Amino acid sequence: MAELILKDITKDYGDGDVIKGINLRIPQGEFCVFVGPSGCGKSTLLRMISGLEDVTSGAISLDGKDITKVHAADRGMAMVFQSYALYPHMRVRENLSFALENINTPKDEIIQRVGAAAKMLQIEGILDRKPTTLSGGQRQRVAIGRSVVREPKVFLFDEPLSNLDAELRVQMRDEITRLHKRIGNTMIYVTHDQIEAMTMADRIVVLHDGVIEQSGSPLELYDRPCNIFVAGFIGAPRMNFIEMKVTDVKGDHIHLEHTLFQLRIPAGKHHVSIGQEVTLGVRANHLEISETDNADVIGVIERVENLGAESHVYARLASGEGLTVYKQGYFEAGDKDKIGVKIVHNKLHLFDTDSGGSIFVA
Amino acid sequence: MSTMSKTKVFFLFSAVMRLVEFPFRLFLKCFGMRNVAWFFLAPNLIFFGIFSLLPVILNIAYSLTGGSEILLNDRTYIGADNFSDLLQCEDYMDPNSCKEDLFWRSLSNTTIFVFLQVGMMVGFALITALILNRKIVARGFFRSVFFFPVMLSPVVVALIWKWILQRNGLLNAGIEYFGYEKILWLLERNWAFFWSVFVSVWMHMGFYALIILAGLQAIPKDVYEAARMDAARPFVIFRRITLPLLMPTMTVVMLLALIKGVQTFDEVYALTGGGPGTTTTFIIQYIYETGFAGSPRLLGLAAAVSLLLACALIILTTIQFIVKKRSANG
Repeated sequence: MAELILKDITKDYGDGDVIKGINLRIPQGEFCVFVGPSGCGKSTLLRMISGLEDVTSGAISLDGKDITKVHAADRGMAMVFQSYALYPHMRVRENLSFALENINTPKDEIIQRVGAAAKMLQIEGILDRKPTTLSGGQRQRVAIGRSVVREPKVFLFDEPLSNLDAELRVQMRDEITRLHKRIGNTMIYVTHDQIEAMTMADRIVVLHDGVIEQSGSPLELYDRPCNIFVAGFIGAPRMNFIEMKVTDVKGDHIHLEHTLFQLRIPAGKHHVSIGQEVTLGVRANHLEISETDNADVIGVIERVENLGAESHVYARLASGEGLTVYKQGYFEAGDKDKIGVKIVHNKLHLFDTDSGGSIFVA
Repeated sequence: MSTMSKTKVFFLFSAVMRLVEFPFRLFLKCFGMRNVAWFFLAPNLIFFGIFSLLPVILNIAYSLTGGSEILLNDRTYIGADNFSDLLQCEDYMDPNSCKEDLFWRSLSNTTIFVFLQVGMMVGFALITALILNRKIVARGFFRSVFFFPVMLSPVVVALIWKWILQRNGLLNAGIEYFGYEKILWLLERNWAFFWSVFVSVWMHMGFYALIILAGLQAIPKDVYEAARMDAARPFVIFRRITLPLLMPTMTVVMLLALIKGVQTFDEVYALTGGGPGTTTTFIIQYIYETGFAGSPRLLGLAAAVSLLLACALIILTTIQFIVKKRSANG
């Protein structure tokens, strides 16, 4: 069992809390990803879990044991740093064995564990090389290997792929996921890249300004974001937001009004009241390009990104809001062309404009 | 600006530029575009030639001549006699058996001095840098305090310490206050030697501490964090992370300290005058006294000693670089 529990964790560097009372339970074996924009406190939180940073208040427990004041080395955790933090003067073999030597592991066991980790990460051929002679991907593997040999209860990853090129990042993403499946340990992974979060996580924790905005499975966050921030942060292209007003709630439909158009959407369970200012949230793939005559809304094309298999059309409404529309395949259009857009009515989100909280999901 | 005054400015500008560009134009006319690099290199080459290369050549020439005449033209060519005089010894372990016994004494003094001074200097500078690298109170103030002696003139340093160490100096006043007898710090052989080393270390340590501090700060913070996660205790971190990563800086520091140590003259000369006897007479003082202060002026012999010294330094530097390269590749 390696269940990690964070209770009312705060961090204050002297000019206000950067982490504001985090409560989180990460069960044994979970691949948990902390995601959020720069400065949201995700790395600070990870460093507090690792013991590299002191906790201002609150408690961290692992397997039911309070580790808040325990030295970083004695927490049973290993960390992979963004910069790899390999010891440049040591060979790969020494980099891997350093931690084991420090805890007086018998020599035979060190050799066996280093060998096993090297085999698992396919770095056997570079054991006698120094980090400066390795490629980015090899260094990353060595950094992971250094964690693996310690056989920690919890693996901590601090944006480990951000220094790699796109192709290598995809490859390493896959390798880390496979490593997790193979060894089954709890892993906490910090990233600002939501694609990494979506593809690797069992659970994503979205952080913003030192608080957890939402925590849940990738699809849960994608389908049912609890507020505008999460809705905007998870999913690419970013969700479209249009400010509207509830004009009527009749039976099984909600009537919404915008200066340019009106919408009548099927109402399920909702917390909407007449006259309420709401923000309509709709993903780019839930908008369809149509003839201007029978469109819900008409915009002017600003830019088209043709990615080959799909296209992203960026348009602007006369009222000033931007819209991103997803289209499969190519889309040919000139700048300033008019575009008609139909909204898929059963794939909508409504947020309270004042609080930002979700009030309805179609 | 009117068109007329614009034209005036333009003509003035081109006249000035023509004047400034004249040497360059002349060079291009005489030597062509292919050799233009020499035009820009010339000031440096001339400066280096007059103040570095020429003295070296003159030094070599002087070392092959004898007599007390100053001008090279008036001096007698004697081949390698100066070198053979210097190296002529019945027993190399006993300076008294050598023809130039003072040379061997000053050489022996310098060797011991450099050994002690470089060791103490590097050790203290490392400790100081390690302390100054920590988050201590008034860190900026302490950094300035340690660096301050470096800015003082060697003679001023010597005079300050002389004031402290002389027979009726500050140190003896303190000793007497506690009821002990005065010690002749600068007149007893071992004490005089010790204080020569100490004052020299005190004076230069701040400079080397600053270089080591820069080296310490260049070590990435996350390497230390990785070591902490890897259960390395502070001493292990120092021995296995800090020291190896600081080695390139330490090599530079040792090299600079070694060269500076061999060149030690002014502060010790002003402090002890080379005494008592010849206890603190170092090689540069020997060169100075042989070539300039003594009578007759043995410029040839002094030049020969300085050449031997240069050779020794080149050899030591080369060894140090080879060791550094091997340990880096090791």
